[in-house]
Amino acid sequence: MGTARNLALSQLRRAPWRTVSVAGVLGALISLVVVFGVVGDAQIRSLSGALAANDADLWVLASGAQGALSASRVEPALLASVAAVEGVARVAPIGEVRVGVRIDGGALVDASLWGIDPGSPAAPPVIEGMPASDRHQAVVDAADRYLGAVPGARLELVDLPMTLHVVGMTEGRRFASIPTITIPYLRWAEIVDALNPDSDEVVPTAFAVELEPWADPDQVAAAISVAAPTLVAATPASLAAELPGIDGLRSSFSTAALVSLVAVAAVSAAFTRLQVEQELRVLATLRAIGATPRVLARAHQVRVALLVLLGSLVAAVLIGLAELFSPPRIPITLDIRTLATVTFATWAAAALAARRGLRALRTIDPADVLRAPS
Amino acid sequence: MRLALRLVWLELRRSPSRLLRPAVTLAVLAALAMVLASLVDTLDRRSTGVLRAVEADLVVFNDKARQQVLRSRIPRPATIGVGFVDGVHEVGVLSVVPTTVTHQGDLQRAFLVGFNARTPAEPVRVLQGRVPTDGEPNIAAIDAALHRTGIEVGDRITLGGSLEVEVVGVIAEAMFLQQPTVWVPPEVWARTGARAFPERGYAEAIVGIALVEVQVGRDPAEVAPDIVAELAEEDLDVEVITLREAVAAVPGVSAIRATFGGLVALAIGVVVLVSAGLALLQVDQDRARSAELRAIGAGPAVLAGTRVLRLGVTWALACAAGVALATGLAATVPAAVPLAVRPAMLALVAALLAVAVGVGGAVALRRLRNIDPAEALGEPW
Repeated sequence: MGTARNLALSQLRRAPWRTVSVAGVLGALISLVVVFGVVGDAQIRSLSGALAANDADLWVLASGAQGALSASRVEPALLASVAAVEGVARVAPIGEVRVGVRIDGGALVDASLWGIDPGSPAAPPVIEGMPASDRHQAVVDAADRYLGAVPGARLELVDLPMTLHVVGMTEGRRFASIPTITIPYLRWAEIVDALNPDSDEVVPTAFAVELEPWADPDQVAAAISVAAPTLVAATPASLAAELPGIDGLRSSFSTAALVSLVAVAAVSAAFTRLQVEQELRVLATLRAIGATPRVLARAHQVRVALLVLLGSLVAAVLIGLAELFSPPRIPITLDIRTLATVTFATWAAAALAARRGLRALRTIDPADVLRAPS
Repeated sequence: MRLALRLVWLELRRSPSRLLRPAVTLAVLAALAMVLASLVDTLDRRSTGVLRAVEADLVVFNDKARQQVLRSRIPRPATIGVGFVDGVHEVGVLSVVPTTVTHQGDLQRAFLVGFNARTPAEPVRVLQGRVPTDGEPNIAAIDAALHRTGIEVGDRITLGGSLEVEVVGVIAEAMFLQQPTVWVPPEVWARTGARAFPERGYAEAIVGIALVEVQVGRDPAEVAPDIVAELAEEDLDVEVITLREAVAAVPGVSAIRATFGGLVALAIGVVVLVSAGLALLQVDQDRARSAELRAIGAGPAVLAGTRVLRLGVTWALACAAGVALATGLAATVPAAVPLAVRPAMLALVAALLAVAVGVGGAVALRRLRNIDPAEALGEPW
């Protein structure tokens, strides 16, 4: 193994530019696959995190909304019917509406305003600051930090003479890929009423349900539909999966990551094969001076592994740079597990290609070295 | 050039694998770039199809809507006022609301689009049948995305779980926010919208956006401020932007363009690196032969021409294979994957790849120039 390692290292040292360029290409491709996975996950979280990561056991929507949150309106009077269903421990209303907001007097942005009481089963956990319990207080998502949405910031609702103060931050609870703000439900109802002066009543978008520890979510969901036929209950995660666009976005990123993975495997295999063929004459020389085919094959495989490892390091650096310099709305982070998986797949493809190319070692004639180059 | 052409042709005949192998590698990358570009293109079109389906110069939103079609609410009389603005040729209204479509027991989500027929709000491409005209009760046109789910002209569908309508036509794909669309007269839209969202006050008198076609020879940018001023006199604050700007303002579009655009750019960058790497490896591989050719009188221009031709052949083969791979993938993936290839997009990517391969090849040409004919006399290792 020592000879193979020495050979591999000296080959890499002898052609530093080639080593750097192959590692650079592999690194760029590996980083592309990793970034697809990470950005895809982040985009989906940003689109549906408020539901996907919600702590309530069930959400109850209007059955006519067909799972579309924007189309759901649940009669407040039905809250008691849901609370009376066996297995339901707590029920609370949830409201969602789009508003225009200026954060600390900055640019006008669209935001998703949620009405959820701090004690509600659906309340987002606060990771910094405190929950919004007062009518002027609000909790924001940490992903909107780059817009200035941090505890202490002022949120001006542009369509109403109303200001909220950020008192806490949650994480991974964004909705519709826009800044997501949570305030107490009654305050939310006031705002919706003020936004729609012609409407008679403000109705919740959904109910959040916490179950008794022994209750089965499916049975309770079925019982809710029986108790109130205009309602339908489902887990928040399943509702998140059905949000418009989620399916398309998820499959887009998966397809892109898969095609990139195939590309990285194909490119690493092609480079390896080309290098093996190019070095057959050197290999013949080494055979002539006594190196066995086994040692030469090992040396080549060690070099392949080292190159892929170098490529992986380059990918880590590239992703780190992208994390530093990419705009905040493209949330690139270094996911070590994905990086390791892609690196392994790249190495496997390159090792297989090298093995195929190195079959020629069996038939190579050491006397070739005495003949003139072709 | 003729000599270079002959050399490449002879090499292709003698050992096709030397040319084909790099072409296969680049083909995979070309397919990657084409698939990525097609994904972003399809996601974009499926978010903005409603606005792309019409031909208008300007879009009028109420200012509180902040350029969002779903949120915009304009009083219908105001749209009549727009028609009297100097430079305006025609005005139509278009309104959108989420709904459900039930057909033979299958239910799916869609957007209901209310529009004025024979105005700039009418969809331009009708694939089958016709579009409904104003005042016609209980008829609708569907877009090609809904048609693909098995709904035909003459079928009856239920909108919003309560209103049954007959399908009289199919228009070209006009999806909005990744969902298919059903196009109905404004009255049908108002009835369905009012039932679904009573608090929003949907009514025939309140519509979504106004679409304006300006007179021939008039600049839309000059007409837009006049529309704003005209409606301000009626105490209505509006925002008037071009159709292109309205398309860019659809929620999620800028994020899709920024995210996927960045990743496509990264993929193209990788193609530059790979083509440079492949070209350099080939130059090294052919170094002895190139030195021999130089030694027997072939000039650097011949060698450079050979290299450029080889790159050209590699690019052409890679693009052809990339197009075949991307098209094949688009045909086989499930309908949920937003991957539809358009020739224009593939051509654009192929052109970008040509530039990338050219940049990569330029690095190899520099090294090729440094080959010394004397190398042919000695051991290249």
